[in-house]
Amino acid sequence: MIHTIRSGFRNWPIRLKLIFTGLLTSSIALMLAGTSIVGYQWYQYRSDVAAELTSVADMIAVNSSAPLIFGDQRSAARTLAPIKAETRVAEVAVYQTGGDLFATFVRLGINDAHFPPAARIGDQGFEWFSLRVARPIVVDGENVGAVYIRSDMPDLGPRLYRNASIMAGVMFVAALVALFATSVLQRLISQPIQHLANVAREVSSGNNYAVRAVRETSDELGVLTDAFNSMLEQIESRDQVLETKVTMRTAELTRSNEDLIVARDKAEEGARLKSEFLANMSHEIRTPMNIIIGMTQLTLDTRLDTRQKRHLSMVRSSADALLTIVNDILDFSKIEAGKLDLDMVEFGLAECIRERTASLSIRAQEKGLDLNIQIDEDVPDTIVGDPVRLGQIVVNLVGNAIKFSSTGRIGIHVSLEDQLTLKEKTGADAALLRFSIADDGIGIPAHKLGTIFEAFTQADGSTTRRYGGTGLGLSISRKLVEMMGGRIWVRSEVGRGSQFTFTVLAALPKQIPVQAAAAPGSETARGMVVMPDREQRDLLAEMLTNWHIEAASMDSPAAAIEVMKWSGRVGRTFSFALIDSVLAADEQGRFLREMGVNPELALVRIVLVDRSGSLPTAPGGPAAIEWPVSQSALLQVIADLLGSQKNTSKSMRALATALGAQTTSEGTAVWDRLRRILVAEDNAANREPIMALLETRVPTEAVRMVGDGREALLAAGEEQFDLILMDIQMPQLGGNEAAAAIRLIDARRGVHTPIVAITANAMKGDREIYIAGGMDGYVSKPIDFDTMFLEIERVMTMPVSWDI
Amino acid sequence: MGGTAWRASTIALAAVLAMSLAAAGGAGTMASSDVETRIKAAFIYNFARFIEWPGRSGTGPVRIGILGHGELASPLEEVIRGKTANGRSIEVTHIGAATDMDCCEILVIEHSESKHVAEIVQSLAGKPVLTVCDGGNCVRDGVMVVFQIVEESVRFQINQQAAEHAGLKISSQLLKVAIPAEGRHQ
Repeated sequence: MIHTIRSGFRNWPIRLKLIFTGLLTSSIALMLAGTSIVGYQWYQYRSDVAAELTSVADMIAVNSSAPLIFGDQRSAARTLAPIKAETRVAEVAVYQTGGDLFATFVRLGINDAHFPPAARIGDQGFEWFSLRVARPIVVDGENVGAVYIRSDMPDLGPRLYRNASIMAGVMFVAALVALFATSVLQRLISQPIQHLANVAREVSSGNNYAVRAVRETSDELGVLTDAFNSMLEQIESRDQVLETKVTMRTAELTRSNEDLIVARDKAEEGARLKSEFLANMSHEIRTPMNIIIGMTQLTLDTRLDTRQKRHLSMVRSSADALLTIVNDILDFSKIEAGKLDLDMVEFGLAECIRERTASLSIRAQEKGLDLNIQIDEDVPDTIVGDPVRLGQIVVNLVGNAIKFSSTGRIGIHVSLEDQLTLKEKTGADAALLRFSIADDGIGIPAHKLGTIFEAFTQADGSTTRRYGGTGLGLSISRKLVEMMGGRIWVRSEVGRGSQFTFTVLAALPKQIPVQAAAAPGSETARGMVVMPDREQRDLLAEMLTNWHIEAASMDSPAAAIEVMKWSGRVGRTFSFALIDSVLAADEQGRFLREMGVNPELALVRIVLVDRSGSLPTAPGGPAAIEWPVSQSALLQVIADLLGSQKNTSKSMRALATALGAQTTSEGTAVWDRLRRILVAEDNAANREPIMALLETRVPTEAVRMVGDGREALLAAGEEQFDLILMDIQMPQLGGNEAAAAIRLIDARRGVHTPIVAITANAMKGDREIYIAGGMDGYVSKPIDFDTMFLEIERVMTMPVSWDI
Repeated sequence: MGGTAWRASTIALAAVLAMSLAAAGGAGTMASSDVETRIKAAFIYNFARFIEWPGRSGTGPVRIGILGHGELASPLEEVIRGKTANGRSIEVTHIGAATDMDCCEILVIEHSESKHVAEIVQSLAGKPVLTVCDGGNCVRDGVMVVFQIVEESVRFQINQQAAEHAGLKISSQLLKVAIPAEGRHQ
């Protein structure tokens, strides 16, 4: 308790402490003084009363002596009578020598008068409010008796009370004065302290060392203030020194930073210039290389003797190798320079892989290798990404596999590595696809596995010598894979083959709404096969499935009708039905009737599989295909069919690709149809190889050359061409503008002239821009001859009828 | 009231005896007249203590003369034995003739001389002698102190005029105790 009071007091503000101390001190002093004064007054009063009583007693003694001697109590009583005037006297007694009471006086109002025995009377005695005095009565030297007087000091109480009241009043006033004085005093002491504290707080909270406390007095507080201020000054000056130092250091640092930035910029600029130079050089090399290759090929196609053919073949293959190297270096330097941007377009994955590996499969076949593509069911059909670069990776790995294999098979396997997890992680619709390319080739030694993805390395130096190549392919592939958010790795065993696997993070197209299921390019066509023989039925269905056509096969027309009706009601209309002519005539007839009357089936085109080879094909009637059904014939029929339905589905593109590939391998059907070709190209250096290329396929007079877009437009107005090759960047009128104008002419004529754009550099999103601009296809410069042939054949076989 | 008065008288007597006769030895049992006589004797002695005789030498003994024959002589001698009054010794003398009457300070006139009081007083006129008479009409005759019995107590009356005429100074204290001169007693 005391401890808490003490510690509480210790924590009081100085202001309160001072006031409290002042009050306490003054109160104690006043109380001491007051008590002393009252005590002294009391003592003084008592002494006065005692003296008075003594004189009264002496008087009584004198006056009582004769009555005592002469035994006259009456006279004695008379003697005591005047005592009444002495208000302080309460009791008086006169004793004889023997101690007997001789006469008494008791003040009126005192009821309990008590006279002590004479022997017990001292000279003087006090009780609380009572004073006793006794005096002997002496006559002629003889003690004849005694007088006893008691006073109850009646005015002592009021007098003490009055004094105490005055004291209390004085104390109160003194306390007020003390309070006032200490308040003033505490202001003198605690205000400077408070001021110091405020300044200190300002310093610490604002880190402002420039403020100073104001010194008002020259006492200890003034000394404290001075000390505080000098401390602040020291801190401030030290801060200034530090600040100066920091400023100097910062300046030095900034200078060196700037130097570093300049140096870094210089270095980066150097690297960039180097890469740019490399890219430009590669590009400059590529153009003549393409011409060399093209011309060599053209010459090879002419009549040559065996030796010339062998030499030219060596020229051709060396040029191919050189071009590959140049392309790799170009890609690599682009990647290194950070100039390679990935496309973000929607594309069909399977289509992309098939397209890009089409030419490789020919090479594989030439080496007797079996190239097999397997795409898992759960792999998304359409993804968003860069089809060119993804294809490049696949082509590179497959190309390597072909290069380093002499027997066995090469497998391409695409699977879905992860989808849901990614969705949760990124919140975006994306798929991690896994591509695996396996071969039965020579394999890679274990100690080389770690470095094959590094630039300019191959399994060993001898490999380069034996198999050619730059060793940049894998390095480029790895960089591309990493850019696509994946990784690449290899498992290999010498003599047993290699398996390259990479993952790619591919975005998925925005969720297609239900009614948009029929949107161009995303849906698949549906086809029905009605054929009693199960094996034949399944064979046809498999062919259709290969072209991304959803195939159903039934053994009876009735069942097929039911399925197609049901399917049509849920919006999955069948595009066509193949019906076997081996079926009974009445069954065929019923089938055709059913097809005619059911509105769900009205749009389903019918293809008769003609076993007799004698069925007439009436215009507007069912299409027919001869038995045994060849894949190319079926492809042509279905492509025509879907093309006439303006079908732009995935199936349609698959068919077109297949048709293109078929045409390439089969030969010249396309070129037979090309009787008039217009080439618009301003650069003479490009005109010659294009001319030479076309001359290998069509007569020279079929080709008309113009130098710019305006001339091209004039030419197109003069005559109808079967194909136009249009350079994009031309003087007078650009390729895009010319194409748009030609489309107007087409519209007037009710035709569609296939136009293939020739572009300077394949840039991001180019294909989409050209297609949207009215082109049917495009090839990029420098012109690769094979690519150009393939693109022309693709465009020519594209059974698309355009809305004009 | 008679009871109270008696008791007071007794107390007074006891006081007087205690003071005046303490040295007289055991008094034994006495008759009431004896007590009265002895009180009177003590009173006479005490008168000497309250009176001054300015005309006479203050150093010699206080002489108490007894004129006539009565009961007072012997108790008085007992009372004064060994006593002093205001530092003076006290003597008791018997006076046979009136001629020697002025040779003493106090003259006690016994009953035997009661018929001659007036003559005695006449002869002492102007002389500083305190005349004391025991009862009767002595006051009228000009005796200065006359014993009386008031309410069974021995009291006395003082003829202040006579005393002053004789040049005696009587203490006021003594006057206070005395019976007032005229008609003061009941």
